[in-house]
Amino acid sequence: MEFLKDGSIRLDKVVNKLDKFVLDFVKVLKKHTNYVIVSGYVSILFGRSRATEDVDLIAPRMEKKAFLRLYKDLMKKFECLNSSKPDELYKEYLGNKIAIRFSKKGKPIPNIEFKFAKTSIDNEALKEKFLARIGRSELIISSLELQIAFKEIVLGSDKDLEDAEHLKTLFEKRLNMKKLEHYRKVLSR
Amino acid sequence: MNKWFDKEQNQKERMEFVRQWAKYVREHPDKEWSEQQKALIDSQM
Repeated sequence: MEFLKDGSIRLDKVVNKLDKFVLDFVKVLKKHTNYVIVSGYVSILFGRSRATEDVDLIAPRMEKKAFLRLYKDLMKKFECLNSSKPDELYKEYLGNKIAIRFSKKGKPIPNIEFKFAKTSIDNEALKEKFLARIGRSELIISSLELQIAFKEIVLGSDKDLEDAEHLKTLFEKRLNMKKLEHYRKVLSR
Repeated sequence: MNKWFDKEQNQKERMEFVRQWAKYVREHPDKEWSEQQKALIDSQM
């Protein structure tokens, strides 16, 4: 793991099936919109010893036409588990702040839980981000301090607390503790 | 505490391993820890 001057992190990891799935999805997604990866997969990308069935991803709200273009492009390799009607997905799901799930065709696990930013914390996640470089590929990851605080304060299950502990131990000397405390306070309100 | 299972103790032990593994990841080349992670994740996919 190498910390580069531009704030990104280079990983020289052996890519697992989950990493490959996420990289494949993002390869299509990034042609259409900005995004950020949040929650459990952040810890897994950086070595946590567990798998997951879903990868949480936030994108800024998109115009319907742009979403339809993204949907059409994604459908070449992926399927949506909620509905095969893109108009319905846009209006009834994303329009009502409900996340939608995309998986490889015929394989519901793993899947990407895709949602538009809806809270100030979602927007903060989109703003405070960094690049993880894996070979020639890149993933946009939310601030580690925000992910740790969110897992500790908002989610709080055993699994989430372990994810947070993994990131805190791994990045012990790299974390901005003031920023982490700030997020803890904001999320406790 | 449950008579059959000490949940609190189990959580402590799990957390201790999480720290131990995170230190291993920090102190070893990516290829070394990620081979092990890949074996675990790929077997579950």
